[in-house]
Amino acid sequence: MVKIRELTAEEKAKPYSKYYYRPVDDPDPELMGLVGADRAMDPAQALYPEDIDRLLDPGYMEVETGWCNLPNGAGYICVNNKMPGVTVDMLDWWFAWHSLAGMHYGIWYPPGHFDITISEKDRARVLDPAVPIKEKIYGRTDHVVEDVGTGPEDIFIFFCHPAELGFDMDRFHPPNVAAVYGGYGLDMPQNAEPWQIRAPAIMCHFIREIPGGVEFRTRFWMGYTLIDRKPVMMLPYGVKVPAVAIQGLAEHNVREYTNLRNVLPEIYAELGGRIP
Amino acid sequence: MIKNIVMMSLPIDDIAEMERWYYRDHSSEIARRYGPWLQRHESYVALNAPADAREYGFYDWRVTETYWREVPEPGPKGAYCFTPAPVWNPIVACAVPAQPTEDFFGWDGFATDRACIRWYQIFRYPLGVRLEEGEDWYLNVHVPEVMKQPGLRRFFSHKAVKPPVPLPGMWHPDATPPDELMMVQWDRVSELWYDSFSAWRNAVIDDPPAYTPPEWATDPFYPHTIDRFPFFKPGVDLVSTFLLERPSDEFLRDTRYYLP
Repeated sequence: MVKIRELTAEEKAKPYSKYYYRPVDDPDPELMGLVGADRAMDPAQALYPEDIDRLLDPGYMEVETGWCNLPNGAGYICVNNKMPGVTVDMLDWWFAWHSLAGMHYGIWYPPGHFDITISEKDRARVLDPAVPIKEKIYGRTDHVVEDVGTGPEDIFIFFCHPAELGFDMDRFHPPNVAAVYGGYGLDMPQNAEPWQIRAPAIMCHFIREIPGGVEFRTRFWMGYTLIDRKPVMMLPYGVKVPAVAIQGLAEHNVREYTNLRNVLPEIYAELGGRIP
Repeated sequence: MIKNIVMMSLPIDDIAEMERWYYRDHSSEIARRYGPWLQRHESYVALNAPADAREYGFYDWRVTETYWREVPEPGPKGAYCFTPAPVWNPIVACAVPAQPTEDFFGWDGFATDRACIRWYQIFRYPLGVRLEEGEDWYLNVHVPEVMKQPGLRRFFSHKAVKPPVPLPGMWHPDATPPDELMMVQWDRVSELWYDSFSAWRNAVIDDPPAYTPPEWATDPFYPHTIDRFPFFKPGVDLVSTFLLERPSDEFLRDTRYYLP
């Protein structure tokens, strides 16, 4: 039995707290099989962050779901989560709304999502009705407390405009893509000493519309960061991202997006796509 | 050209053993093995700074700078492992372009003017701050205000090289400096020069200019920050020491090689 954070009385009083206490859906079994601990993919079939623009090509890559260590030691994850019944409007709303409160973030995946905070400046921007909903994520920094497979971590996610991630904006339109939620981040074990190593990663959730819903094509490059719009591998010589951390994040990704796809249409309808 | 910086701290009880190891073993191994690639290999002994000057993440032993004409490939490459230190001590490491990327203040003086002490700072922007946002505040807001410090003689800065530069040589797998004593993720190295510690105290503590705090200093979203100069939490996002102008050791000329 996985323990979840107990909500405060104020949080419980929110009508949508029911989503937090709803049993978490079982993860997609097919995807879970593809990200198993004994299923590391061939790194030759991985997409490198320098080639992120290839996601705009029609069709699929040789491997859409898997994980591996790259030859340079970095960790690579790809997952294709199909989300029937989910629309891009819902996702745009979700990626703005969930940043406003710990419970919002917890609803996404209660066993692994513990808290979220954003700066006063970013909060004002999310709440500003003049900022288009699609743009509320650009430039925002989220501090999440999350267990992505190796215990609770403090993770800072710096969300970016797709152009900053390296996408060719001339090709950035349907049907090539419907939305991208991505950026780079730093993570460290929760309660780690503040001077400890901060592990970098680049993250990209690349959304395409498919009949009846959307597909969430996720990519993570653990060990990389983004500097001046360019991916930079930050691992010291000889260091490899531990396989358990890569596989753990891949598995967590399947779990959290399986649950989100099931909860999102309902909560979006109930709250009317409004912020807050 | 890359300048690699290693700033070191050391409990005073370990200094005899560590100085012997540093001269006899470690600097010799670096010079002997990598001399063909090195242009300079110099070390400065930290000054015995007064207590108030030690409040800024003070490292009390040495700063060693290696200037690489070319950085040899990492890995053993025909060399033995480095001789392990008798004790492991706190280390900060950072690579920067050999020349400062910004020269803010004081270049129009003469080297023959009064001698200086150098406040040697290595820092990074706090967790949650984007590099470009930190840089914007530092270069466009903070630096012009620091330049108003009374008695500041010289002020320049190097932007850290990223990705980290892999250095040659190997520690033995059973004798590797522990991760918890090494800090390696840095954004900048800045030097501020003053006539003396009294001049430093006047500029920094007694009569500082007004500073504009960055967003991270006032918003609790950012952990581990401070709301006063220098706006980087000592020991977390800022380490510093005080050096004289001239290195105490120039290992490429001073070391007598006796190793295989």
